[in-house]
Amino acid sequence: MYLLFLPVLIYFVIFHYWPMYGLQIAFKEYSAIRGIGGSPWTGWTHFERFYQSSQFWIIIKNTVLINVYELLVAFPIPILFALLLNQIGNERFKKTVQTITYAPHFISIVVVVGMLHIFLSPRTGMLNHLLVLFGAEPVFFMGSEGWFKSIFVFSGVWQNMGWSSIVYVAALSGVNPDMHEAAVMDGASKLQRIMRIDLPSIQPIIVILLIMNIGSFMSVGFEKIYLMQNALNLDASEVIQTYVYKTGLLGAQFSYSTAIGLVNAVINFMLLAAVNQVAKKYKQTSLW
Amino acid sequence: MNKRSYKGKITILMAISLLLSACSNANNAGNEEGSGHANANSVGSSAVQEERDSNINKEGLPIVKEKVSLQFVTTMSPLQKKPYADLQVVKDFEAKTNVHIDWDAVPSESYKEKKNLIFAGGSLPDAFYGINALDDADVTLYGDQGYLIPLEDLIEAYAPNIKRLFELRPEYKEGVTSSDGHIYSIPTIHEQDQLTQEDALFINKKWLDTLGLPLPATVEQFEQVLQAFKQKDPNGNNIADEIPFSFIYGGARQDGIYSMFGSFGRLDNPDHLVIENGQLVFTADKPAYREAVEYFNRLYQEGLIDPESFTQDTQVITAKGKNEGVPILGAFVGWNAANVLGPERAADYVALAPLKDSNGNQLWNKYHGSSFTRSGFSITSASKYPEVAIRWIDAQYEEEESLQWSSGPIGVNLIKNGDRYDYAPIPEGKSYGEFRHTEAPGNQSARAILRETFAKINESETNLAKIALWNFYKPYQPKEIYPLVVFDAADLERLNILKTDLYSYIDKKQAQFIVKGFTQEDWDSYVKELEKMNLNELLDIYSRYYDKSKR
Repeated sequence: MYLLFLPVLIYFVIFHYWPMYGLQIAFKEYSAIRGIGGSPWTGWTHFERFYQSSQFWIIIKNTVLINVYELLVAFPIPILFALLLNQIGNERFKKTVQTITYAPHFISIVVVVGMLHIFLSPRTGMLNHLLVLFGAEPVFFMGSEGWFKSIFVFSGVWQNMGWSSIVYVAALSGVNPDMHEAAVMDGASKLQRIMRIDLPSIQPIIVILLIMNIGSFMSVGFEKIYLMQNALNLDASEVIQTYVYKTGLLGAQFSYSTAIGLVNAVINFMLLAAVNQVAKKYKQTSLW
Repeated sequence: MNKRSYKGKITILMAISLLLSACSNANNAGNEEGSGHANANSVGSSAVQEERDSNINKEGLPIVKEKVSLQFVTTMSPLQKKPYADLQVVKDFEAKTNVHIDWDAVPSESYKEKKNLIFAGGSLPDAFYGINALDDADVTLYGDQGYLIPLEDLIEAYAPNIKRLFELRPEYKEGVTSSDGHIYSIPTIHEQDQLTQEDALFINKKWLDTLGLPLPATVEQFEQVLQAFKQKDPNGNNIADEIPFSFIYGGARQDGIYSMFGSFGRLDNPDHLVIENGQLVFTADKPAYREAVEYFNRLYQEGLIDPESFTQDTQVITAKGKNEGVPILGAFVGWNAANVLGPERAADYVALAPLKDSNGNQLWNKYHGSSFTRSGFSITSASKYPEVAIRWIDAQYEEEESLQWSSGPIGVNLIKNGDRYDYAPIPEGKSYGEFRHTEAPGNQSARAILRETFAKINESETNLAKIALWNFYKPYQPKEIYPLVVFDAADLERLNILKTDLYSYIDKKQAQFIVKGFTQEDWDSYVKELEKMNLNELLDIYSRYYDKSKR
């Protein structure tokens, strides 16, 4: 039994625990010539610098806001979608809808952002053509702070709604049809059946997925944000990860960016633990 | 059952021990190799060393008797379609020198990331090759930290061409000598003076004629012209599709609006530093700067600036310039008109003289150009063959060789007539840039091409156009700009930290001010924020080095 577990253990030790050794450079002045072990210690300097940086609150605020927004919008939509899909009797229609909604998931992020730029262009974009048609002023979507988060979240919904709903659709198909039949006999309406039968049956899955989503709470889709960034929306779009990329990989300040990354991980872990506690208390479903 | 699981356990244990021993072996090998490097760089009296030395010819070609392979990291122009190993200049050079190069060529856009990873990870190539391979900060910092080896003794012993270059132009030798007295890079020299003028403001002359307007000479006139472009349908297709004014925002010297700040009394540039009467002046918190930003904000509010100026890249603006049907671009900033518009349409546009400020002064930006770049060729401490590497690059710093690596091989891109050269005609459907990079690394190469050499080439049409632009803007260029100085490692590190936050903040704020406008309060808090980000410390460092350079 335990033997089967060994490959997984090895994988985690090599790829997930061993690299943690490198975390110490957050407290050091890293130079590759001296190596990770040999670089001099600097204590909390890098953390203090991050905290005192004028960017600090903007970055933290954006990271949290984008994630909360995404969680509020992008998490429930696939559930609703799966519930609706489940109500469709016509198998062919159902399959077609599913296929169409999965499709965007397979488009690469770079292409999606390119499409956003084209569709939302103030001069030639479709959306702005429509706005002008109805007599409104064209909006410069990609260059506005106010629109950034919505564009980010809703293009994500468009891309992943179908894909994320697969799990729920599968769970729903496992609901015992007897219950539905009995409910129909008792005169329950469709809505009542969804609320009383479907939702409670997939609830454990929803909770587990919620916890797992929180697990990656602070790690928003880096590529997409980075590609969508420009000088005009920077105040709304700079998040921890893009900042780490810019200072660490482009600015070669490795210790500083490791420190920021560590802050990110610590916050994330605390959130995860908190949500897990709450879930445990109320529903007895939890990760540990 | 039990038996089987034991067997399984044993098998897996063995597998693991194998894996582990393989790992440790690899480690040992790595260590030995590492110490080998150290020996190679010290005096070294081992048999291996002697054998290596006897393989190297001290002068003349080929460089080595038996083929040697080196690994170089370099940048690659997006216009270059073939890998380095397939380029004709590279193949010819390998045949001549008997040195094989494993090129690790990274497209210039993603190069910075890759380079930093190489230095962070510590697995270094033999050398970094090319004008963009390392920036000034890299050369200083990585030289100081021991990643790059000092080259002055190698140059003395093995590099007559580079030595001659330093004798001809002592200022270049000074420019690559770090504050610790060592030379960590062979500079790239490309003495084309027209390259000191980068950006030019173009305006659609045909539209002006259609509307019966003269060339605008002041900022007010420029605004009126743009308004006419927007409202009076100068391209005559009855659709208001004209883009009055477009540029590329964000650090782009060639396509940005930095020079236009001169129309308000003081030029701006990506570093926001100018020299006025022998004094260093920071531009981005001064009234002149503010006035310029207010002006651009007004243009933006009136819909005269293409909003996409803040998000577009070269491809997008080129698509606007070359759009099918009637032209839609009124005025734009660029390196030359043909790049954005294509050669035919470019004839309808003219370069506009700097708009006059309230005192009637006209200013336009001057940059250092590419006549001297510190980066060119740097050998790392991991190289086993520093002598071969230095001889290899020295052979390339021979006049005709440099010319071919930059402009393309003779017979393809160049035609040799006696001791003069002509540019070969550009094939139909190709731009000069694409043609130049068909068989050579072109503008990414390390080279030394002096004024004297360029004088032997009959100029191409593209170059003549650029020279004309340079002559046009030259009278308006400032006498003095911030000199090329060599910072020492500690100051440089501090500058890097300060600049990362400060300059991205200034950039962001300028864009916001132009698009959304600003109040006195916004301005005050912006200036205060600059102070909080240690602007003064940055200026201290810069002015200290500026004062030093004057002495």
